[in-house]
Amino acid sequence: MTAKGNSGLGSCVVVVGAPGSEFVRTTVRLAREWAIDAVPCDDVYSAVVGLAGQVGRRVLVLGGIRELTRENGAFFSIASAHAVQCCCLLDKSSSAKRRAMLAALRAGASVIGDVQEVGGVLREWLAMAGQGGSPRARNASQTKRLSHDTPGTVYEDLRATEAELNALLG
Amino acid sequence: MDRVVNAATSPVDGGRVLLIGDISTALLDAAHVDRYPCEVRANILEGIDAAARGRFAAVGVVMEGTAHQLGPALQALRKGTRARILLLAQMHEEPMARRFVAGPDDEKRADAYLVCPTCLASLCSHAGVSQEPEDGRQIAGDSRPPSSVLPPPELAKLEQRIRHLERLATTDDLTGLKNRRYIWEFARQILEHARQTKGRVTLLVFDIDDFKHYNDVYGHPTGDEILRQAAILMRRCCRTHDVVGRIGGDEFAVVFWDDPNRTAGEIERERRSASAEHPSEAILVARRFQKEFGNADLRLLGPDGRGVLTISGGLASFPRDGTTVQQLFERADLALRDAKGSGKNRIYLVGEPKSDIADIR
Repeated sequence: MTAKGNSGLGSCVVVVGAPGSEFVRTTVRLAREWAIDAVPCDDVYSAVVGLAGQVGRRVLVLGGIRELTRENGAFFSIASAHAVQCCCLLDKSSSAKRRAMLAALRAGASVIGDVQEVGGVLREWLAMAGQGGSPRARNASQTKRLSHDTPGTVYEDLRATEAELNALLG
Repeated sequence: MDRVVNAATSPVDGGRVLLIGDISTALLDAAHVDRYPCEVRANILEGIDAAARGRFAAVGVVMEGTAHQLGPALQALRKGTRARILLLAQMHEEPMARRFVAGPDDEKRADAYLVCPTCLASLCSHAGVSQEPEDGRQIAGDSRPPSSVLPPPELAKLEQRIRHLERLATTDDLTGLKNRRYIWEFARQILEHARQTKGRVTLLVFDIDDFKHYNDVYGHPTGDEILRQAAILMRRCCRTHDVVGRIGGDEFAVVFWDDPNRTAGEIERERRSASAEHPSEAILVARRFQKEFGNADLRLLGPDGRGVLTISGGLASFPRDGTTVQQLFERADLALRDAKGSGKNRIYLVGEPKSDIADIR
């Protein structure tokens, strides 16, 4: 436990990216500050194995969009099937395909544009746990909320996010 | 030495095999996969996930279509499961598959590879899963055939037996080179690959000039020795990924193709270079062989045994001279006959009659 609070013994952050990169170093450091287990993985393939080893834990995956969207974005389906929340770091030079990006968004992954934002993502994720909401519960509530929206609203939301992404990616 | 596995490593189960990738091109009986104790995941990430969470005796990974991702994917599989990892390699992927299974136990990324197309029964045998497909018979509560894991000594014997039979089916007994069946199937597969990747393939067909004369004068054991020497020399002159075979009598064939270990940049540079028109590596190899064979010291032929043997050959390239195996063999054979007709001891390129490769700069 640290001054910043209890992350919960069952929490874990899987960090996907090149070892030694600023993103991985920053994320691992922040996770440790929050007393969260950090599992660094070099690529999306080892991230799948990393995820499989965290059964029963509350998991957040943080990784570069290019890496996480490999293999047609199948990682997001796997994460979604195991109620794991994902957050992708946009790479300005990324050539991530639009379809894969949409797969990420549809699977409920959040997107950040800068390493500086990792702290905020972790804080928000921990706050959700503090509110007693597991990712599974949160996903369920999100689904419920979406189902109350009109299909048009959901579509508009998606289009708006896509426009933001396009703007970010240039 | 036991492999180091992490906490995510799935336990090994007796009877099931996980297949990852597009099995339709790798397995002749892919349509009947539900009759075997197998599970299939087309996507490699989903496959790794299933392997890490499930209980499998073996994981079969189809190499085709995974070239660049295969290394890290296999590394992840290694960490995630204790199951045997089998690669399903097309013939042209064999050099790469060989690299993945090479090295000490704790370093190699796969345990074995099978050359495709193969069948589910063979795969299950390699996986150590014994089974018998149940055509039309339903087992109460389970449509899968009964399965069990063979004990290690029996598994090793079975593997040895399969390898022996595979060798017999694809190898020329006399020279140890690949046989005609293998060469044709390899050429078919590599042409298919070249069509997709815009790769280059060149076929060399050659025979030993006046071989019948040596056979008749010095006897068949001497003739056999000449063939063996030719095979050793040709193998030595070729690059490791080129495939050399004896396709009949004193006739040999070599399939030259793009080095599978080249980077994308190297491939692009080669395509742009002037040598792309005539596969320069194939010509270099053929020249080297011609020279070395000519200088070979065959004592069986008596004191005058050095420098008497020559070869004639024909070179045909894909796609310029033909787009099918049949066409390439026919064109190379025609060039070979032209070379014979022009006085022997020369190798002709298809489309350039009377132009020996020795004259090509």
